Amino acid sequence: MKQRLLAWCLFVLESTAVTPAFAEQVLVAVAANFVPPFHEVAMEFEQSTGHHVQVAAGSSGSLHTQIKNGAPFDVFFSADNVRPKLLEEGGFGVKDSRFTYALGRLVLWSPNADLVKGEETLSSKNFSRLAIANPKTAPYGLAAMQAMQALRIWEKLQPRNVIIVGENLGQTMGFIESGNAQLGFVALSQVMEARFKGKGSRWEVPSNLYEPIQQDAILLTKGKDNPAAKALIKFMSGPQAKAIIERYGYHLR
Amino acid sequence: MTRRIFWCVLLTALLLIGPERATAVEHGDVIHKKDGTWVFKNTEDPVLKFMRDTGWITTEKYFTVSSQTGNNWIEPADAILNVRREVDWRRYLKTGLHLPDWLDLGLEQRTRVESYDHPWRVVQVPGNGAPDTQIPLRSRVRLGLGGNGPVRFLFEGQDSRSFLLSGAAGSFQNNTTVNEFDALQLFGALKLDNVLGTGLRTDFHFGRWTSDFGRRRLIGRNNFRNTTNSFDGFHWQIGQEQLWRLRAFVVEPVIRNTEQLDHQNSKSLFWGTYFQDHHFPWFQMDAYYLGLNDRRVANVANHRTYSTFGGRLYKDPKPGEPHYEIETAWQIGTTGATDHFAYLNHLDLGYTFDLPWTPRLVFHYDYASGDREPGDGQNGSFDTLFGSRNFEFTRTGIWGPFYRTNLQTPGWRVIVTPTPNLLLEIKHRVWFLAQSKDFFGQSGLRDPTGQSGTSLGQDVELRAQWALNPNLDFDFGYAHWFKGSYFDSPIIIAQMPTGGNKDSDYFFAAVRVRI
Repeated sequence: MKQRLLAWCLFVLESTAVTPAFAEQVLVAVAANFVPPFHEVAMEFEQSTGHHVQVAAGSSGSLHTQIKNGAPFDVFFSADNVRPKLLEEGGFGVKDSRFTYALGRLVLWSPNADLVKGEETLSSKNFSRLAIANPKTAPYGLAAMQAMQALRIWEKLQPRNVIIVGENLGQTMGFIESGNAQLGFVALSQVMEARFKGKGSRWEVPSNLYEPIQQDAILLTKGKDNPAAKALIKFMSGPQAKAIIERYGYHLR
Repeated sequence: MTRRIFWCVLLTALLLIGPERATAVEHGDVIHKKDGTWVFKNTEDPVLKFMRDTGWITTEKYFTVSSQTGNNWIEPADAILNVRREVDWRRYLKTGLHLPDWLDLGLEQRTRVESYDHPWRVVQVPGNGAPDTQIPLRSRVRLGLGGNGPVRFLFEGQDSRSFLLSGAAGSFQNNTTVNEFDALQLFGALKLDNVLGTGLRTDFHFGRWTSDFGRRRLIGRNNFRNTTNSFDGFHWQIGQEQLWRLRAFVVEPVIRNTEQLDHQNSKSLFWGTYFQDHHFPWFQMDAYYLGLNDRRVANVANHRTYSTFGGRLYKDPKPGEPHYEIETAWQIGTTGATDHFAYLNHLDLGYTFDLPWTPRLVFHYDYASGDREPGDGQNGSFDTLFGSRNFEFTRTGIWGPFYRTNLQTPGWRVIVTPTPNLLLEIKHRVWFLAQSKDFFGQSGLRDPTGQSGTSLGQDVELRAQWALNPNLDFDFGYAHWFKGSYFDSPIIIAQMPTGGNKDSDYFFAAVRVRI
């Protein structure tokens, strides 16, 4: 009987001892495009700090709505810089906690290995459909429009009626993959996915041709007293996190 | 010594479990419950998570595979031939073997235990009325090439066998329960996503294939039965995703042999065209023509040459809204030397309540014509061709008394879904022969005088389907058939096994695993 009691005591002790006594849990809302790199960052974070990370992924818009409706997130990693700002202004985020964790990179991509050769591809007549995300709602769509305007291509393409607009980056990539568009502007992180590696042709659009695609994060009001949330934000500016983010095709500020 | 082993095992377990728990990032959704609270629900696939956490697959591969749903689904070559739930599941084996996207590999195994008493079929007379209990096993292997590319190939093999737990003499066993080691599908496909810049998609399939058309009443890939209809020939479709599509085919239906390899026969030809339109949710429409010329059997009286014209109008169920379905099909042609004129009418009226468990109430009515006067030179028995029945009549396999021929049946059912992956159902139908002098389905029972009447009785069926995920599901059902006065007729009793006129109970339990 004594030994059984001792065993249970040891079990309970061990359960709490394997993580530091101050280990906490942090619930993080992450924009869908950033989930794979964030998973690696979270793994490193857990190993370094002992804190436990729960990740809920979704579109920035739906996560933003959930947060406004009381969802108990501690930290929000958005795919843009607008929604974190709105949350801060609305009292849902901790003031001055916003920061840019990644800068999106725009790429012109085609599954055809011979089609995209550089900016001159846009002036050629080698395609009949070019896909972009909606410039009014998607930061990458706005950047695509800005890049084409800077190259003075946008006006030339309008009469040709070649641009088809996806509601988001996922749908835009779908247009290109399905052949409904021969090429299109998407995120570099998308074409770096394993299934596209070594396939097609691409041109990384110089960052001076479009306004930075800032992906911002913010500490939310519900996480302001959570040591794990604060530690995560600190961890994001460390070298381990930065190396992972760059590897997935993002720039850093 | 025993104590020492106990402490060693305990400490080892603690060391293994503890650190693992501390480093497991969880992925899921935040759910808003009806009481106003929010909870985090882990939605990770446990097998993929296990592969990732043990380092068997990379994190990148984990997310790539996890995201291969919805629009990112890697479509197998038969995706537009068959309903998606038949071919869409997580390919654990393929992922675990690190196979590339262009190669599809899948295994499926279903085991069922089923039993019923008081058999009624003429062929079961030798069993003297003993209950029939079987364990049907169905195993499938899929090997596809081409991924989402324009040119694709698919091989699907199937092995169906049934182990008898009761005396073999009275058991119902034929090529609907047994079909050992055979090619269910073997074809090449060509897909063009944007025909001449119109945005339309077209597909060609050539070889052996299975398919679902419309509600599957006349052509379906059997999902409850232990064996499956397939066809050798050509299929073409063109359409605009979700809005409309037009299909056409010319095939020789595959003749299933229980032990030898299946084959086709050039004296059996099946062809048709099928149009579906989804522009208006309240008036979705199918229109079709199917032709059959089947002269493969020696007995000329059984040669079938029909044209079947039909249409379907329907609205899909949706919470807080009514739904309906009307289907009508008309057959003209010849059966042997006699003229063939038959028809099928189906009606569903239902409502899905916007309440917890989203209960759905549906009223059904089916009428499939029978032969009014055998031997009068006119055959009126509707031929269900290659259709499925279990989704609206009864479970099939060794049970399935009712066929879409010489039958009229009103009924109702209530379906509830306590959780998204649990479905509970109760069904009640009343059964009558459409014509008293014609055969009762494929039971072999017939009263040429018509004195036995038309009352086949009624059945009540309970069913529970629980899908742990798309890879593992369980299915349980029970039915009681209150046999009608037709079975008390001396003319019918004389044809049946002993006790065939007594009520029958049917039970089944099944598990399906797909990897």
